[in-house]
Amino acid sequence: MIYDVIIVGAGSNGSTAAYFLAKEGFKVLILEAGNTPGDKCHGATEYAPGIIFHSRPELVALQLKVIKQIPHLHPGDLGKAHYYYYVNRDNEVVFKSCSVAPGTTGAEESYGVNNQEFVRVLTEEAVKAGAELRTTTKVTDVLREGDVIKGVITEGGDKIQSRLTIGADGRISTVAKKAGLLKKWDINVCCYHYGEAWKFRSDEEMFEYVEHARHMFFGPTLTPPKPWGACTMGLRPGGIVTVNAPTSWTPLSSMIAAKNNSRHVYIQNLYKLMEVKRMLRVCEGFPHKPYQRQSTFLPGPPLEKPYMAGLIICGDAGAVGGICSTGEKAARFVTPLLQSDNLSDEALAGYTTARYRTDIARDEKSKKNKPTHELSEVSPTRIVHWSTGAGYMEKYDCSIDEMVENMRLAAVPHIMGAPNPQKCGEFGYIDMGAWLIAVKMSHLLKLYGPILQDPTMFPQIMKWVQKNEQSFNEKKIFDHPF
Amino acid sequence: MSRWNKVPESFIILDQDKCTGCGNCIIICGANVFELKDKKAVISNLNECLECGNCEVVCQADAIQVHIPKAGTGIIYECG
Repeated sequence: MIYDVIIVGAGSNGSTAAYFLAKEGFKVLILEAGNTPGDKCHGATEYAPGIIFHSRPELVALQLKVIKQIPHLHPGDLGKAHYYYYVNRDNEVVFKSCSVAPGTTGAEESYGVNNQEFVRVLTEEAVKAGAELRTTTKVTDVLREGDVIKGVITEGGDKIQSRLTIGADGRISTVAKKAGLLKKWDINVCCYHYGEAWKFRSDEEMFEYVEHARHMFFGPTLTPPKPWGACTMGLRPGGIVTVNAPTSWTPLSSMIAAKNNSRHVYIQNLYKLMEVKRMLRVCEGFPHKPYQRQSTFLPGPPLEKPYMAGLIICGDAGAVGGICSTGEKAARFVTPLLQSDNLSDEALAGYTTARYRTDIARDEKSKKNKPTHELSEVSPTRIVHWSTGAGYMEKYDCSIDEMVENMRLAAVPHIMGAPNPQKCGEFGYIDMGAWLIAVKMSHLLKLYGPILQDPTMFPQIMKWVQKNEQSFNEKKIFDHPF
Repeated sequence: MSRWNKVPESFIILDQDKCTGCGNCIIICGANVFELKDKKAVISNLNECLECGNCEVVCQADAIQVHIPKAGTGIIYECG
């Protein structure tokens, strides 16, 4: 028997592709190495399908359908509030701010979802749509006939034939490697990621102890909403708190050059903060035995050739990530080709650009409030380019004042530098302090400008400052004055 | 919670002849899977592996190959 499509990997992209292809009436087989889909999935995501995939209503509908069936779900009103903790050289929190009041809901539907549960329900939807699922089936090789991929070979030696194979088997992609499309990821553009998770007994208990915001950033937090470079604590459904070291924008090559993997130092420093200890102390094993540890790398740059006759690579395997995004694009792209039975190298070549194509909303009204590019299409490579701002002062041989002056004008990408492993004891570059103050002041002025200009208000504020001056100097902890 | 289903054989192939002992895998591994013995890397703690594949990427001598473990084995995440 020959399947129309074999999909390797029941992750978010694989299952999405399976869903859309099965709905078109193709005979689809999904092969998954785990005992259940999602066994190897970790992490959580904020899903706001309406924002992220605004130009793809069918994908939005699918995601919402899946989300509504997930057992553990955080509603969107959690997502808006972010706390920022500014940490000094002595590892003390000196300033705390909150971007938006907790409990205020965004305009669009958004949800906090554990990735694994999302993937499980999504795969169920693909099966309901008519796809066949085989779990505990690992693919070890592709079935080749000359330059054409004709199917896959499983661990048990089964040869399964198909007209088209879709490789959606993640960063360590067997399919891409065996097909010869991927040799090795580039150490200079792959970024290192490490996180730990802690578990409360329930969501309720978690909210008793932890700030009621989905994200908390500790360290040299840059301007909201671009908080790269800080230790992050994230609240997740089921009473789980994840802690991420600020290494996700650090290329692997920087770590190797510094001969230091700074993840441990970052995280240990975080756990020493009084604020964090207070939040996590009730978790079992804190601070030495996390409930779960996660490590990965963000691959990049995207595969130059993510296709060959009879084969398409999508998702992380092709280094164009994004939840469900490239899976849906691959499915849409191959549907007419499957119908016309033309799966040659030339016919599939269009996939390289199809995976990036964005349909920008046509009418003016919807253009106004929507992002013009889909967020999921920011490739890890681009993030690395942004992150070249690390060590700005050394690079441009300038003083802090000059840097602030330069950056104040534009150059936002430059400040989103990757943490420098050599400075890990200081939560990255604490010398960014001056810049932070400048940004905070402009932020505050924007918010409170009208109040400050009011002649009756200023004396009141001055009075408050004078009254608390002594305590500022002693404790070096500043509460929000307003 | 993450569980680990024991694997029958190592899914990380470490070629001792190619290994230069640079220690990159030891620096990058978040689970302390590797150890340096006699100026060569050895796998000493496979059951902690998080299957991230970083060791393969940073190995300058191409001595490490990471495959996903056999079907149904290796790390299994619970609660995502």
